[in-house]
Amino acid sequence: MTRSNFLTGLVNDLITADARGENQPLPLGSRGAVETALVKMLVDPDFLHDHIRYLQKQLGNRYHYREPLDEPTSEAVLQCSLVVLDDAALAHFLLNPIALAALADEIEECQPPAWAEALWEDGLRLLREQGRTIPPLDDRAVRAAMVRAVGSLSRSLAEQLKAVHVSFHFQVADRLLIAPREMCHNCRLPFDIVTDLRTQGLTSEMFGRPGVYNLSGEAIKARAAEKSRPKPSLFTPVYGQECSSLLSMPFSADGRVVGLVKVENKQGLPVGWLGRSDRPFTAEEEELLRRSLDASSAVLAAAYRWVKDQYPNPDVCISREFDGEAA
Amino acid sequence: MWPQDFADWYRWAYPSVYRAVYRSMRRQGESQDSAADLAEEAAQEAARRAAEQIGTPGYFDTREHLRNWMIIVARNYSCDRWKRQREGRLPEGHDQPQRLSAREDRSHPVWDCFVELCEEDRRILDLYYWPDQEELQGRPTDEKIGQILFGRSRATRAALGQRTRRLRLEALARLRECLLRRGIDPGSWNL
Repeated sequence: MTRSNFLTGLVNDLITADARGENQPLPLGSRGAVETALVKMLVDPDFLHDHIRYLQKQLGNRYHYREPLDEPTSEAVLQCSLVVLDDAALAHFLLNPIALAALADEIEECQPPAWAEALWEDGLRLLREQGRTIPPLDDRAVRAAMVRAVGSLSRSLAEQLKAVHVSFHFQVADRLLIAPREMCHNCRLPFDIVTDLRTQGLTSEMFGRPGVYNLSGEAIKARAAEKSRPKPSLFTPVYGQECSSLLSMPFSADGRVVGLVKVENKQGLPVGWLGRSDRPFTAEEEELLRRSLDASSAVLAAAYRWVKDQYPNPDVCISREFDGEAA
Repeated sequence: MWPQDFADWYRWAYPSVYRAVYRSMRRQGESQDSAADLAEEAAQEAARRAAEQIGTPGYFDTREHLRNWMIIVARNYSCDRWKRQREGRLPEGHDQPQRLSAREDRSHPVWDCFVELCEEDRRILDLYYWPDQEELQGRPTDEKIGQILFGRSRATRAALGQRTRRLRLEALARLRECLLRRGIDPGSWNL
């Protein structure tokens, strides 16, 4: 924190003029710099205290201005910043330690919108000076909270879906993300949902490890063909109990969750489906789908990052990236 | 739009949240390092709790809404942590014999400034910082103090609170100025 020569010189000039009973205006073109200095004082207590100490050093106890701003002016400054003060008022304000300290406290307590940018800049400066950075959002605690939150939403959605009895034709999305148990802890829908991969001849042992799978890749089609299993019924759960330990989420090439959500109860029995359809959705179905997908997108992004961090080279990953590159 | 923009909004809000807690803790007399650690912890806790609302589309209208919410959550969190830490600490000088116990003796530099204030300022700060009246059991609020000071007024409780708050901030500003004049950092005295 350094006092600028400009501020020191200006305060000295104003004090001298004031002692002579002159109402000296701010020097031409200096208003911007004065406002900048005052804003810094009002959001940075160290800078303010330094300024008050300087005033005390120069004036002792002989303050000319020591009353707080009157209520309408104080309110106007809080709402609109310092632009509401004319040059003379701004100069007096600069020499008034009581008004400065009282207004600084008001700003601190109320965090008024007009001061938000100054407070934000002060925050950035603090972080920089203290050698700190903005921690990434996707730390474990936040991820866990997101998953819990979607779990709560999902429970209520599941109840609604039961009532709606939605049933649509099955269409698998382009890709599938599978993450381990901790990503879907306490989460019922949409992550305890299992896409019925057996309709494409895919089996759970092919997806036993976390990774990002390209369902349209040649490799997976070839493996599916090798298995040549009988095609099961559309609504048969694939993973059974095993499923609850996996987060499975179909999504499209652009990363958005699409497709199909199958709602299961704890026994693994399907209670409803939601997904692409060969007929238009009703308004109610659309709203349910929108809410489900909105809630899923952020979790999917976090889960995807997590999988990439934890398993940079998953050995069963058919496609490592969203671009669907075959392994 | 919430929750899709959560990550961007979080990055934007973080400096303001961090600052609000850091400044608040410094005013409570915490050291720079301790205040910074607590600010970081509180801001992350606020982000975690915001993440719990991710299942409610539109829960936060704007990024400003999220920021203000996070500031309140982070401040409350840090105040709770600070109080718990403080309760666990022994007061400075506890092991010295014949320690003086009266507040006037323990904090005489502040007390000297305090008695220089006018009667009205002293009364309001006394009620706010050293509540020992039966009416003020628990945390003293501006509304409660307003009812004691201006109980006969016909103003609403909220109006009394606002009036008291303004008078308190003005009294505090005068006390701060006095402390600085005596070379005392107000931040060291929880003011």
